[in-house]
Order: sequence, then structure tokens, then C-alpha cells
Amino acid sequence: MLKLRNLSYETVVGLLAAASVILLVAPTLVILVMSFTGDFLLRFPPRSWSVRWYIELFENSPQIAASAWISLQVALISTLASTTLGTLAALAVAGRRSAWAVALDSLFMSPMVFPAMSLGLALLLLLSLLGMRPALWSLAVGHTVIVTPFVIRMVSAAVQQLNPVLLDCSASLGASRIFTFFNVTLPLIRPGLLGGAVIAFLSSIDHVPVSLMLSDPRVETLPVNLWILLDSNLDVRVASVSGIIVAITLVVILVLDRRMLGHVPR
Amino acid sequence: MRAGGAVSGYLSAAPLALLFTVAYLVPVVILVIISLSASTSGFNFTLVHYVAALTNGFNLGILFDTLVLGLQVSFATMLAAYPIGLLFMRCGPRGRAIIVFLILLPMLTNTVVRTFAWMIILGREGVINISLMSIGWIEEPLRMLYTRTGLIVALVQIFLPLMALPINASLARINDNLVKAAEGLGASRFYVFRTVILPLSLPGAIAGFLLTFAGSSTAFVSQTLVGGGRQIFMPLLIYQQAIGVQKWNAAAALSIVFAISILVIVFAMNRYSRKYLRGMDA
Amino acid sequence: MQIDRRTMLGILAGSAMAGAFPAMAQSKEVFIATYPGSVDEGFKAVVGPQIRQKFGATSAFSPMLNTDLIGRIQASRNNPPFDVAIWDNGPIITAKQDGLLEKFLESGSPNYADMPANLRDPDGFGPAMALTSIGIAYNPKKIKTPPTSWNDLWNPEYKGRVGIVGPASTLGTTFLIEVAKLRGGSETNVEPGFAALKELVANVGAIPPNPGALTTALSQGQVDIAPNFFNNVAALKARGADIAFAVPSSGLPLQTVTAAAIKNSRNPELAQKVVDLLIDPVVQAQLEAAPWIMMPANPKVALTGFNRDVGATVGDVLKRGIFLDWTKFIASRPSWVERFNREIRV
Repeated sequence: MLKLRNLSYETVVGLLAAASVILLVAPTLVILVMSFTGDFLLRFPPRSWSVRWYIELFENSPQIAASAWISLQVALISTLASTTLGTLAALAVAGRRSAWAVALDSLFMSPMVFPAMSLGLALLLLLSLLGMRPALWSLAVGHTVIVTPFVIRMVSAAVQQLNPVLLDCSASLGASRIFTFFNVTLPLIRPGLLGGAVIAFLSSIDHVPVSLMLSDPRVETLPVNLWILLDSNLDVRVASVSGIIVAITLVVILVLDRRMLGHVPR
Repeated sequence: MRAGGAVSGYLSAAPLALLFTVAYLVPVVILVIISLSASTSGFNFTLVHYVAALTNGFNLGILFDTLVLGLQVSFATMLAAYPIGLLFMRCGPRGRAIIVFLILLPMLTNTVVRTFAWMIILGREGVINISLMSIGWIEEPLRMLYTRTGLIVALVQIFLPLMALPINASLARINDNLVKAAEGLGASRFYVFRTVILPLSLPGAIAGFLLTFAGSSTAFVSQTLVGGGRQIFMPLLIYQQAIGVQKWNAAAALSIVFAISILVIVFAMNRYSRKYLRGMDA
Repeated sequence: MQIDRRTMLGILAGSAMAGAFPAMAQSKEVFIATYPGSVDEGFKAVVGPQIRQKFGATSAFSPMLNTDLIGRIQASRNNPPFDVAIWDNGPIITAKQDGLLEKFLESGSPNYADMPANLRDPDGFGPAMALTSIGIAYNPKKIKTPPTSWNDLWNPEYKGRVGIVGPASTLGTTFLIEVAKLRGGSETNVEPGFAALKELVANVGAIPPNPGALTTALSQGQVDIAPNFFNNVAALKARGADIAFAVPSSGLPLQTVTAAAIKNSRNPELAQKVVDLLIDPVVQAQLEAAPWIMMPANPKVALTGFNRDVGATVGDVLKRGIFLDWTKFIASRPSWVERFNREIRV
């Protein structure tokens, strides 16, 4: 009796887990298959196969390429900014219980739950009041606010695991704070910092609402461009862009240190 | 050392605080001011936009529906994430690496792209319908794209990594001996799940739930592309009011109302769950 | 990590610099707002190279709904994101009222003389550069008897297979008015139209967010019959989709698409030149050809291919079409949009 119940438990969990994993992976597989269609339309199953849409993408899609470049710049700038500023801030507030620390931490974490579309509108209104048009820097600033919570969360977790004795040792041996930071603290929190940077980068590359509100033909990001292509005519090139993103993703995952990705925000 | 001096201790947070003031607090304050003004030319105080946002049955319905969507997606995502977590717990290091890889793969694929995949999967002549019809399970195509169910399925997939990773992390920390001890004492696995695994993994699940709730209720791209034109949610309403019909003040008021609703729900859930968890410790 | 730290810093610094000094890379460039779908593709393929060749300038095109375009320009009217845009009959009235447009320099336009009087903007803001007609799009593989009237959408056989869009788009507004007219209403009395749409709900399989998405729904088999723009249908047909276009017996609703320069453009002369280029017979003829199949406005351009289904010449099409008087109902349109969102739910 007991055995049977345990067996059914295993089966149920196994089946459900399999269903979840299929759910997770199916879209990526479908996209990969569809990107090799030879048709002009995205029909399933494709009536013919070819790599024409990849060729079309490389030879005949300057605006998609331009938007990919914009996205890359925005993501790199916001990753750099959020990682630097976020790490410094996390060192100040992590693990502290004072009212100031809690207030600052809540402020820095709040973009995670503040609706991005509202933030996008707020930034657009600010720029409009200043008589400015959205530009690369304003996108980068908006993205920095959006992705900073990930960095703070990851770095804070790492900081809280720091052994204070090590820092005290360094100080008692006469090391300056800055020396201690670069030679003791930084190497110890490096996994958390890198993990935060990776998640910040991915979130920025993926972000739509703020980019859409601040969209301008001069600074159209890749997801916004793809969104427009999809919303208006289900362009097959979206599938080939997706194919390339998936390929890059696979390479990145294989190259990145697995331990680094093992740290996730909680 | 780190505790040395109240001011100097916080000094390293100053640059980020400055950035957040300029690029987050100031814009949000402007948003509030504009939401309280009759028009965009000059400031004339009025509450009319809030009254409209909160008494117009149509707007209120959309707000409510958006929050409900967020909750539905979060619950469904949690249900989908637990089996993965339980599998993860039973696996060795190698199996765990594979599971993490499978969870990360979609997370590293653009959301717009994943949404697009769902359009192809759920369509009337999409992957599911064509496959089911060709094996003769259904005769008429099922309606999935542009429906609530279709939207929930797509959003669950999109937010599953955000739920599965923290749940896995909590489950991985559960002491295996505890589970073995319980089983050794003759407890069934369902019982062990309910009394040991579930409570211990709740912190991770709650974190995932909050992230999924905030994320799915504001997931503009999936909501419009998979939800279609008849399901309107707050992000689209805000976008349409602002960019589409240029009612900037009304859009600002809707933004504030939406933001406050989300923040209140997240705050309440966070608070309640902390209390609950503390209660369990005692 | 295998990436060398110095390389990484180099990339980061380089991209930061590129972001900080966008002006360095800037030559003469013109930004044009287009319509989603084949119009945008046609502009990218035809107009872009012509602008480079004739004026030595670079160009970028953004497809968007006219209503969104007004919002984008309003958000930074002193430094607008676009130099030139094309406009439907309704939104251009709003754009004119808001002072977003620059008058067209007719004297500087060699091609303006080609345009008949009814294709010139009455307030002098520009020439029509294309005509768009609206009719019934359907999948001939699934709908065996070609539709002849808007009333056919109410056929109970088409349960769950009809697609519509709301009056936020020109397509949706025109459809609503045409249906209202069939049921005894008019441009100013759409009450019968709304009543008819409520009855149509039983047949409606999808209400996509915009006309482009409705076209997609047709090509994907999500719906089998729907009101749509002729050029969208023709462009899909040219790509091998199972799609056909029927002219309703009540007449062929026709719009003009007006090209206009945007006020406060950084390149006002270039913007005027681009507007003239858009009505150039050579450019128009290229846009008329497959796979873009735009209905040209310049009567000098001969009609070919699918366009001949609508008329033998541009003059013919103009004679055949029904123009709505958008000034009569543009003010009530926002309330129609709201009403549609509220009442027409499936």
C-alpha cells in the first residue's frame, strides 16, 4: 500500500515535471523550426524549407541590425551603470536594519514591482517637460533603473555571506578601505556581482515597456522593432532573428561559468 | 568598520540614490503632478482624472481584470514550477545542471520572440490545432489564441523561470536527512511534501509569486499579442490613453492608480507571508 | 570567464562613447512615419534608396498607427521625432488642428501639377500620395461563395470565423459607418452600426488590436472573412496566401493618404523634397508594383496586376470610390472608440 502510494507520487511528480519542461522548451523549438521556412508566410507546418530568411536578415534588413546595435549599447551602458552603482549601494545597505538602510533598500528594489509602463510614461513626461526627445542616454538611464534591483539583490546576498573577520583583519593590518575593497571585498562578492551583471544585461536586452514609451525612430531597440514587425504583419524575419538569438544564447550559456548562473535572485 | 559612522557608511549608496532621485523619483513626482492637473498646459488642480479612473466602470473593470490576471498567472506558474523543483531536489549534480539549463534557456530567449512562438502554437491553424486534427482527436480547431486561457499559458511559460529558480534554490537547501527521516518513520511522500517540503520551500515560492505577479500584470507585449484586441489590460490602456488619444493627464492618473494597486498587493502579500512564516517558526 | 578584461572594457568604453556623441555619426537624415505592413516595406525598399540617390541623405522609416504618431509628435513638438509622415483622412484633421504639420511648398514641387484638385489637401498641407480602398477580405479556400455585401459577414455559417477591428483605426471607423449606412444610419448616426456589431459578435472569432494584426489573423487562418484594406489583401495574395478581395455592393470606400512635412523638422527643405518625391511618377510606379501593390495617387501612373481589379486607371478608381467626410464625425470618434471597447466584447 505504502509502496503504491509512493510510486504514484513519483509518477505524478515525474509527469507534471515533464509537462512543465515541455512547456518551457516548446516555444524555442517551434521558433527554430519555423525560422527555416521557405514560405513568405508563417504557416505551420512550413510547405518548404530554406535559409532565405536568414539571408534576408543579413543582406536586406538594415533597420533590424540598427535596432540590435541600439539594444546592445543600451544594455551595455545600463549593465555597467547598474553594476557599479548597485554594488556600491549594496555594500552600504546590505544586512543593515536601520531605518535609513531599509528605506534605501526599498527604494532601490521598488522598480521591480513598479509597473514599467508607468515609469516609461513618467520618463516621457519628464523629457517632454524639458523639451527633449528620447535619446540613447535616456533609454539607458531608464533601463538602469529597471535592472538595478537585480544587481542589488544578487550583490546583497553575496555581501551578507562575507565573513566580517576577513575585513577586520585587513583593516587591522593597516590596509585602507579602498585597498580592502579592491583586494578583499570585491574578489569575495565577485560571483554575485557577475551574476547580477548578467541578469541586468539580459533584462535590459529583453525590456519593452520603457523602450516603447520612449521609442523614437533614432533609438528603436530590438524588442520594440520586433514587436512592431509582429504587431503589424507577422514578418518571417522575426523567426530568423529569434533563431540567431537562440544560437547566441546557447553559445553564451556554454561559455559562461555555470556557477555564476547558479546564483539567482531570491 | 562597515558600521563606522552613520554618514560615511551610506556614502557609497549616494551615487545610486542620486540617479534614482533624478531618473525615478522626480519623474514619478511629475507623473503625480500631471495626474492632478486638468490639462498639460499649466497646472490647474483637479481630481477629475482620479475620479474617472476609479468610478468609470470600464477603467475599473480593466484594473480589476489586470490584477486578477496577475494572480491567475502567478498561481498557475507556481503549480507548474513545483514539479520541476521536486525533480530538481531528487537529482544529482548533473541532473540539476541540466534542469537549470532548461529553465534558463527560455529566460535567455527574448520575450517578444517567445510571445511570437505562442502565436504560432496557439493559432487556429497553429501547431496544437494542426497536430490534434491530424491525429483525429478534434474535428474543429480549438480557440486558444486571443483567449484568456491562451494568454495565461503563454504568460506562465514566460514567467516560469522566475518562479522555478527561487523554488529550486529553497528546495535545494532542505536537508535531505529530514525528508529521509520522515519517510523512515513511515510517512507517505505526499504527507512529507505537505508537512516538510512545502513549508520549507515557501519563502522561495513567495518570492517567485511576487515577481511573477508584478511581471505578468505588466507584461504589455504578451497581453497585446496573445490576448488580442478584446482583452484590454492596464499597460495597454495607459499606452493608448497617452500615445493613442493623447489624454496625458488621464494616462498619468491611471498609471498612478495601477502602480499603487500593484504595490499595495505586493506589500500585503509580503507582509502576510512573513507573518505566516514567522508563525511557522514558532 | 574567458573574455579578456581589457577587451571588455574597450567594448564598454566604445559603446559609451558612441552613445555620448551620436551627432558625430549624423549626416543629413530624414525620418519618415509610415503605415504598418506592406506600405512600410515598400517605403523601405523603394523610397529609401531614392532619397539616398537623389538627395544624398539617409532615411529611416517607422510604421505606426496615425493616432500613435500624433502622440509621439505631441510629446516633443519642438523637436519632433519625424520629418515627414503619411496621414489618413481622419487623423490629419487632428494633426492640422494641433498645428503639427508644415504647409506644403507647392512652388517647389515639380510633381504637384500632376495632382487633380481633389487629391490636394484643401488647407494646403500636401498632396495625396496613395489611395486606400476598403472591402471584404476572405479566404477563397474556405468561403466558397464570394461575399458581395457587408451583410454577408452576418451569415450564420461564418460563426467564429469573422474578424473585425475597433474604430480606433480608419478601417474600423469606415466599417462601422458603412454598416450603419446599410441599416439606415449615416456618418453622424452610427447607432444602427453599433446595434449591428452587437449582433455580429456571435460570428466574431477575433478582434485583433489593429488592422495589421487583422491581416495577420487572415493569413494565419485565425479568421476567414473580415473587412480589410485592398492593398493589404493584394500584398498577401502576391505572397501566396489564400486570400481574395470583394468590393461590397454598397460601394468601395476610398481614402486618400496624404504626405505632409512635420513642423519644426530639423531638415525642412529636405522634408519638402521628400514629400514631392513621394508623388514622383517613378517612385509611385515602383510602389504600385508587386509585392507592395500600393494604389498610386498620381494619375500619370498606369495600374497593373491586382490594382486593375479595382479600376483600369487612377481616374477610374477615384470615380468609383466613396469618400467619407471625416470633418463631420472626427469629433465623435473618440467616444465611438470607447463605446466599442466597452460594448463589443466577445
